Amino acid sequence: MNRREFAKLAALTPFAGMAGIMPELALSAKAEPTGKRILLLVELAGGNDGLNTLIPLKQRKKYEDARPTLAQKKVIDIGEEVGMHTSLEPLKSWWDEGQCSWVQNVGYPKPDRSHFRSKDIWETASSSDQQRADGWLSLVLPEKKQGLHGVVVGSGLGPMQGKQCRAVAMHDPRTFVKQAELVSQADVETSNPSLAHIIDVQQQVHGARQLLERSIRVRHIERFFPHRSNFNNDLKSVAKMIVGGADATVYKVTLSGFDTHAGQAITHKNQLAYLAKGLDAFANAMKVFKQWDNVLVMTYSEFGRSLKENLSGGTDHGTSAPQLVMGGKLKGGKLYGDSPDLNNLDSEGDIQYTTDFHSLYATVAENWWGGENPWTQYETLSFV
Amino acid sequence: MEQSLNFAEARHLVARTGLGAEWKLIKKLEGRTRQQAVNIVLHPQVYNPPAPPKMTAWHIRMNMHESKNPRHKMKMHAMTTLEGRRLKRWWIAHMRRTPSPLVEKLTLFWHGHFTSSLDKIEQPSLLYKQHMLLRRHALGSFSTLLKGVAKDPAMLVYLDGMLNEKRHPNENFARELLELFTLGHGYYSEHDVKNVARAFTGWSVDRYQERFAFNKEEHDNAPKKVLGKWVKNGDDVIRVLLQHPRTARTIAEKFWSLFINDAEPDSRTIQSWANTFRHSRYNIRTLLGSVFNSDAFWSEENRGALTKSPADLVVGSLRMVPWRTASMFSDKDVEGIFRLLGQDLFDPANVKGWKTGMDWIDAETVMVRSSMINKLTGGNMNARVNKGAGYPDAPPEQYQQWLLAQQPVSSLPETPGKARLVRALALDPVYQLT
Repeated sequence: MNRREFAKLAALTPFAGMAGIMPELALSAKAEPTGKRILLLVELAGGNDGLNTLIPLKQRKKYEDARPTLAQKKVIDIGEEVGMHTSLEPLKSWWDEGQCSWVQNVGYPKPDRSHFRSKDIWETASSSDQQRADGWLSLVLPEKKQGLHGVVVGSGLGPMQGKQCRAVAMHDPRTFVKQAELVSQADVETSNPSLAHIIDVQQQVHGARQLLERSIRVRHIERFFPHRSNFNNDLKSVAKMIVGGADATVYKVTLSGFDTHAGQAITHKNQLAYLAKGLDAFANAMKVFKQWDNVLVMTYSEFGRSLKENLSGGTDHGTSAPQLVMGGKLKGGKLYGDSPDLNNLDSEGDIQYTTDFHSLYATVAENWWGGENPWTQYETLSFV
Repeated sequence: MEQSLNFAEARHLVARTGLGAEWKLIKKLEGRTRQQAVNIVLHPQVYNPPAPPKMTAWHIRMNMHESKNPRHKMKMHAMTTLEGRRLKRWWIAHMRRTPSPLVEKLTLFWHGHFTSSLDKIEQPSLLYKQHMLLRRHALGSFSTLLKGVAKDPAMLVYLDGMLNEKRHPNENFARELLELFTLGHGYYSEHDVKNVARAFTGWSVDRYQERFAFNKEEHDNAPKKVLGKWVKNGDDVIRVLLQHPRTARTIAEKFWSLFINDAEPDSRTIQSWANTFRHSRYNIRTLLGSVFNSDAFWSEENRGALTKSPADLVVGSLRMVPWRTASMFSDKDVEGIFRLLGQDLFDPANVKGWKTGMDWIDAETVMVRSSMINKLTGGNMNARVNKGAGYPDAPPEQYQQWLLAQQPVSSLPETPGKARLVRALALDPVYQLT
């Protein structure tokens, strides 16, 4: 890029951080992390098979007996307890650098095997016999900051559901900005609470639009995401927003296709490959743009899958599963929580959780954000 | 002496009891007394939906489901999705065309009250049967409806009633029956839930006939106490619940959110509606009569105090104005918009059913709502082009009264033209209210 081109770009982006347009320049000029604490949630929709994500090595016989065709013979070595599925190869170097970890066997008591109900339980931090309408993040974000709380790339606000949360869902920032321009903008006082709510939400949309306009103009991100997949595109959008300074605390993306009732061997292998390649690309981009220390990546999935494989070469809805955490500041390269015990199964013949998912939320609230922790009765973990 | 309804009042009655403030209906009711107008609204002509789309029988699907061939399973899933979508569109098509929108509004309400979803049941033909049950009794008897729902195959699958057996009672249906369908949270104990579950053991489904089947072997016939009364079976439980004053109040409270405003219901009004409802032996039309004749319903303060549901907004808009753009919204498109707005027909997000009031509005739905209205009101604004479009012959002030329940908050266009005016009014935030 020559001087003239640079001047032209800079003129186009009056308020974007230089990092967005000229990474090389940014590295020297703005090497300091901004001190933001971003959380990227990755939903593995459909129920990820945890037992084929982290393969139990200590009870291998039991595992192989339960899964005559699906048991993974070859694994990536991350210690004696468990091995990673070979599709997760791109994550190995992050593990070795201590910037990637697993929290093992995460679940909750009396697990519900319905997709929608279990997803609700996770996303609202409730329990099997309790219904809550608002997402878990609505309990911690509102007091944390002004302005936009979160952005979902995909549909549904999920864990950011609730009137307290200022979050938007979009498929990509460009379309969002275009759609948001169509939303009317009235700034009037009214005694009608229903009308006041609509006007308030409309203003939120316009607030988000202004913040996101910058991210549309962010360049030099494409090269980090060479693989074409929806998941990669969504991660790319998030990367652009973070680099463009969209100023949201939480981002959420979804990788669907984990409901592997039949023909799991190939499907699950592909899904994990999407996950690993996508997060590898994202982490690389964050590193180059000096944002990696500001980001914590965390996966969640409504449930794990049955220990026994079914007659269709798949697995059915199960209970607990490991969750992945990544980030520049992570105390990684090791396992958190205990492995599932294949000799201590529930009445359905499935593994029983050892770490409650509320612990993940408590850790994020207390250790990552250093704020109010609504889940103090659960132990925090030390990955951050 | 009862005064006759003016335009704004007739408009209010039509918008709240139908789908959209339809000009013709407003004109039909304008000038009549309140009682006459309410009477007309309460006795819509019976207008049955057309034959449903073809749906695969349950036992055939179950065979495919149990097949060892993974391809059969995948085919089965694809089939279920396709048939489900067709069923959704079938209802949308009917909502758009029926001359009796109140029946649709109530059927949609009962679908939210007695929730069941394709997502869980995976059998469209059962949802269709449940839908016809709700439709049949939408303005009829709540007690008949409740009894029907307890034996409805879709409900027995949705809330796991068919898994509720003597030795392994399943509490899912029992809990929701008490919490959501009748009494409401806090009016029963965990002990009641357990005993209600026991009373309903053995209430199962015949997969071949797709209807209720009583499985005597699995029924726990021992006497048990529910809400302090001795019962043996599910019929007894329903009788006890219908004797309990909370049941009528629960429905009355929900009707407040459906017809009056987004705020907390007024306790004295609810009490009076609930009394009438109970003493009419749960006649839904009688309850509606109380609602539509109440001071709360007619209070000027409550105009524009209710957030439009997706059905009100989307189907209502399509029915209200003779848009040239309406052809851009196929039943398939409308089905998609319903889903994005949180009213996915036959697939409510959870057992609590549809959202109400302000909960319909968030950043996501606000954008979908305005995109839809933008597209619908877009196109050529030229008065000559729109001449034959069928816009009502009325002055601009009346257009405002027709399309909005209260004063707009945005400024209106200075250039004349009906299409332009309609667009500006429909894009005003007030248009999201009724």
